[in-house]
Amino acid sequence: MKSGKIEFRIGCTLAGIVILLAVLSLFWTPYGINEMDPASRMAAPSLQHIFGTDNMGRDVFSRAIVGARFTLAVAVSTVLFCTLISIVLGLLAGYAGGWVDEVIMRIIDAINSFPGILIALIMVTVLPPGNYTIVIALCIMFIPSFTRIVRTGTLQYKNADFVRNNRVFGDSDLRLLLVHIFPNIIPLLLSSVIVGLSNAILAESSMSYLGLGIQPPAPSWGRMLYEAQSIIFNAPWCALAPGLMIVVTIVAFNCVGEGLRKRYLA
Amino acid sequence: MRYLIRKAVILILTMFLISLMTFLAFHIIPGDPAQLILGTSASAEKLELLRHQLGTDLPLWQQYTSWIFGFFRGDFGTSIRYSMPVKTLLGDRIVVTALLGLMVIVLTLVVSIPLGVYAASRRNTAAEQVVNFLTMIGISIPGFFLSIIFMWVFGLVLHLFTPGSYVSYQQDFGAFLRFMIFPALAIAVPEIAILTKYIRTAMLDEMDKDYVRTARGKGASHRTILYGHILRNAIVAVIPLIGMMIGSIFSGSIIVEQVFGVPGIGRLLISSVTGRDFPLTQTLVMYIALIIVITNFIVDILIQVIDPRIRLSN
Repeated sequence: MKSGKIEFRIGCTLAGIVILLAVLSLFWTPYGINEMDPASRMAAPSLQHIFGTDNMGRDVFSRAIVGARFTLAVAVSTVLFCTLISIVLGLLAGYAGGWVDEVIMRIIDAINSFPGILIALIMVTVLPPGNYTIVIALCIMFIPSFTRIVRTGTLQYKNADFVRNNRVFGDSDLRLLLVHIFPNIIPLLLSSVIVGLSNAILAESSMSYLGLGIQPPAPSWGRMLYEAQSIIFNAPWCALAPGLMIVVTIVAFNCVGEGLRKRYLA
Repeated sequence: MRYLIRKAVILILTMFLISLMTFLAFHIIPGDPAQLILGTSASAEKLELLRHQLGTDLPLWQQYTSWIFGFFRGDFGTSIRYSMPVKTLLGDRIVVTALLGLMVIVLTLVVSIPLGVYAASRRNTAAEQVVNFLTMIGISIPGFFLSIIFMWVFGLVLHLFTPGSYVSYQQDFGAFLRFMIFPALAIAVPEIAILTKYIRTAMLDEMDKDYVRTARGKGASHRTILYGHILRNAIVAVIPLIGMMIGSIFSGSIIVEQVFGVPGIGRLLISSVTGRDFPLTQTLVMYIALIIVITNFIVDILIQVIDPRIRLSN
């Protein structure tokens, strides 16, 4: 078996487990996420509390799987939103060429010269606080790389023989773009989008750690880590549970993305 | 030379766009900064006075030009929250962050070059798989999680340093380094992972080329071929990455400084964001973006100098 295939399968399995847990948390959690049990504060992992409890006696596992839901929801909506914008910009830049291309790409380059986290920080400063803010803030981070991929793909296919043929037959520019050019770009874009998901999770949890992401009382992995930091010596499981969930999820999406890319290139 | 001019023009254009975007981001917000500072109960005269001091009563383009000319003269404006010039606030902190960044770069190069070469030279073995696995994990760990783990393991369990006991570099440089090695390592881990992966790939690309066979035929030792021939060519492919690393090191230090309590630019930036200190945030963002753009420009030029193949192809 090729290494890409193994990677892809491991990734799908891990991602599947995390997504299942997140969906499960919609219907059922072992304990309420804000349910405090003063008798068992900072209890080590046991059969009752498989990830232990935090300093207020809340069940870490319940909070972690609800956190998975919030983090995944933010990551998925960020990436979807951003992909749509990038497809429009990339097709336009690649197909129109000339000054349109030049203007779009210069702006993209300028955005790209900011580190992603810096853009997110500007946006949360400027926009009113709320859960949509983080989606918009993270979205702008990913527009440059996605737009570049779509643009490169468009350039590659815009003068291909099959596109020229259809132009001769009188297809409109829009039809050429959407029906003939865009489907060819999808495979490469898809693998980048999935790797983008893991970057979005990383960025979201960093922002939530700083208190600038998902707003409390909604639990998020980043915030759980922040809260666990001061009790790490007495209750390391409070930090390890959300931390390892972040790592597993990111590894999973990276594996799926890489696996897809290798399959596409092969 | 034409390449240099083209690059310089793009650099200036990018700097202009960055300044414009940064400025606009902070000036299209609904709401009056003066109102924000003084609160809703402030009198009209006081508001008017503060607006005049802040310059927000001027037209937008005048605000922009006065900000940008001030910026390049070294007048970075005044922080609302700290009520002091941004320049004074930057002073020490920029040195701390620069030293931290330098430690990260040194750590990254020292670890990832041998590791990448090792992984490439053990192609198709278990050792290569282990290195691949480690780089995968390294890329996926968030900096703040790693920092917390380091504080727990190295600080609280092994007592190698005391978390939260930052020592200024002017006070005791040795103690400063002993403390900073841990935040530096936390920022460096993902960088090491990425660079190792690239060096390995670049080495593998070079390995099958004719000059390697020639060197082997001449009887050069395995070591000489690896480090003297292949690495020298592979490293050229990796240099552009070092320019990109500057940006991600900055991103890393924004978060990690916060966790370890290192008083650098990153920590100042976060406190300016949470305190909604617009002038300070605006200047810091511009400052950091400029450093990154200029370093990338220098790296681009360096590549030209180092590698005649790229120089001639332009």
